[in-house]
Amino acid sequence: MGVPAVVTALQGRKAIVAKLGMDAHWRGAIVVSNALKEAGMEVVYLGHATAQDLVSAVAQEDPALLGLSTLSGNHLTECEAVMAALRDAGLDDVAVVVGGSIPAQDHDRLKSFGVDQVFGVGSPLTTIVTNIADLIA
Amino acid sequence: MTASASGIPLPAVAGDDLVAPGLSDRVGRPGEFPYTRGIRPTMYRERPWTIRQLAGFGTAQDTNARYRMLLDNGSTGINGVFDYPSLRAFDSDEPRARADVGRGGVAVDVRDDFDDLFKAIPLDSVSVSLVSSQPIGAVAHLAMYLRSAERQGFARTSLAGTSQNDFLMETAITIAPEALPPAGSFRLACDLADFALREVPRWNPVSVSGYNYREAGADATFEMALCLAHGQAVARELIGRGHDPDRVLSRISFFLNAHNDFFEEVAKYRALRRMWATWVRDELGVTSPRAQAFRYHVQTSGVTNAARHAHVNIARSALQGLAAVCGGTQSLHLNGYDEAVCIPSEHAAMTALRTQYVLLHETGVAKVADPLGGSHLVEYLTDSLEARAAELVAVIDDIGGVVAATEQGWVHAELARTAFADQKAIEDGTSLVVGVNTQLEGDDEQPMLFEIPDDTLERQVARLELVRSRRSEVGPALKAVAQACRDGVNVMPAVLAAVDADVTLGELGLVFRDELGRWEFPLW
Repeated sequence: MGVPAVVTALQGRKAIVAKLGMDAHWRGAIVVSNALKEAGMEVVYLGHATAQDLVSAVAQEDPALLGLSTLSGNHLTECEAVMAALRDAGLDDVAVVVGGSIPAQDHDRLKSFGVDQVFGVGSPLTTIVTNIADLIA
Repeated sequence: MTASASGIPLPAVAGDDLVAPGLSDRVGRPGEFPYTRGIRPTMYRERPWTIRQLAGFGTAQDTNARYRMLLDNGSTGINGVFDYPSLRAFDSDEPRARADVGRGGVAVDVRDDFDDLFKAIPLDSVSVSLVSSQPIGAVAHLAMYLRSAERQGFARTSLAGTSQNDFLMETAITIAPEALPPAGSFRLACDLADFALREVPRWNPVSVSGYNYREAGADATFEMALCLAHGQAVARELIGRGHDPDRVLSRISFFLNAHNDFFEEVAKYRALRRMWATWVRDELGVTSPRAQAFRYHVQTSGVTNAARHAHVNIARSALQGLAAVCGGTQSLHLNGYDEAVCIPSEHAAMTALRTQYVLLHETGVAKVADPLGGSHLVEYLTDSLEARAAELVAVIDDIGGVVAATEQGWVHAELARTAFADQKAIEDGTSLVVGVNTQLEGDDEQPMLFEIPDDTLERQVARLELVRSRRSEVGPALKAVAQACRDGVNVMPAVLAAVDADVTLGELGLVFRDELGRWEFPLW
């Protein structure tokens, strides 16, 4: 493992990072945002956002990536709502990744909602950055 | 260079040359100024630490059953955590709250929830820690708790316990939609404390939460500095409101982390006691032992727990707990081994509870006060942490104090910087963590995931609707709370009257947000 360096595929690409529901933990979202920034991305950190907030933000910013973070256990309910809202708004071409305290058993459910990738507890930044580079290349 | 977790250089062998002269004055005796060795003369021989396991999920009925299970099995205090909407003073049926109801803590909305939460628990003999971390929720929780207890026949003067009530939790450590601005949150925290000092004499009205500062990214030094700067700000404010300094200081308590670096953690507790007692004596001129004593609860570090090989977390929590009791804590929670993936299952909670009794009965650590006192290494680390934390407190004072440092985003920037550095150290292998970047082989047994009851939201919303349907007009009671906010008088009497009118937590939260403001975290 190593610290992620600038990744060509991510250079100048835009990411929106947001917290779901009322989950209180910002540490992971900010650490990952820093890693994406170091890898060359432009990061817009929204803080807490509802599904409708995210639709507006994606419409306005036209990001390559939407990164959602939650550690409170609300991921199934919240991600289902976000993915449905993006689809309804015709914005589901944006790549969506979800990270946080997300048990392995829920990863497939999240993907069935349209989430592209899930990063559970212990995911190295290197893995997150390279997977995102593959996803949006 | 080999160094401690917070960067203090470490020699291969710690000799007496590592320790500055004058040690006996700096260390003293347990129960005596400067309390480096503990706040009581014989420490755990006279009173074991309180075994205070954290619990909270689902509805108040669900959590009451868990409290009683823990008490029946040897817990000696209650440590009650609330879900995010309840911490932030949002009603459970608020659209953006619904997905978080009963997760990560118990859902409460109205006074009746507190009736259920503490049903059949003798509140005049069991001390109750309300982990009401944000002042916006804490003022309402305490009002509901007091009214509920009084209805059950317990006088408020008989109630012993703690409100976490930490403005940094609301404005820097845990993010929320529509957080109060730092000055407004600090004011509510001090209103609660001001009221409790006058009316609830056995209550600790602020528990300065170094634990959470650490979990958000601080190292041991920054955890210490924020605790000291925050505790000092609260003390000054309450003394400024006319309280007897001796009385104020006797009721301010702290909540600390037990992290991985064993000797540094032991040294941290020792250094904090000495720094606090010295500040109380030299800056405030207060000399009573009770006022000088730095009292605290400890929780083992959640962020150090790994999802892979989760049962190994039992060892982590036991070792961290050992540091806490070697350091002289008054109260302890050990995390469940499933901490990284869910709130504790019954099995994880009982394993943690029994591990506390292993520490108490089997290790022998409780037999002698400050068992590591005099160790060259521990005394060197104690002195080094004291010097480094004092420098950081001076930086915070130069910014204008802990409220100003939060308003300016300095606290957030420091935490985010250290959190990122910590993660990078794991990525590049400087920090080795079992199950994360080393010892990855073998079966990855997943613990059974604890799930909150399926009907939690449904039951909680039904409760809320029942209370709304039975009550009469709440407008005047809420207006009185708003008026108290505007007039700059203590909000607690108006909040208690509003609780008598059956207002909900979310209604009170809305008043506070409207009156005291909404604030964006300067995180990015």
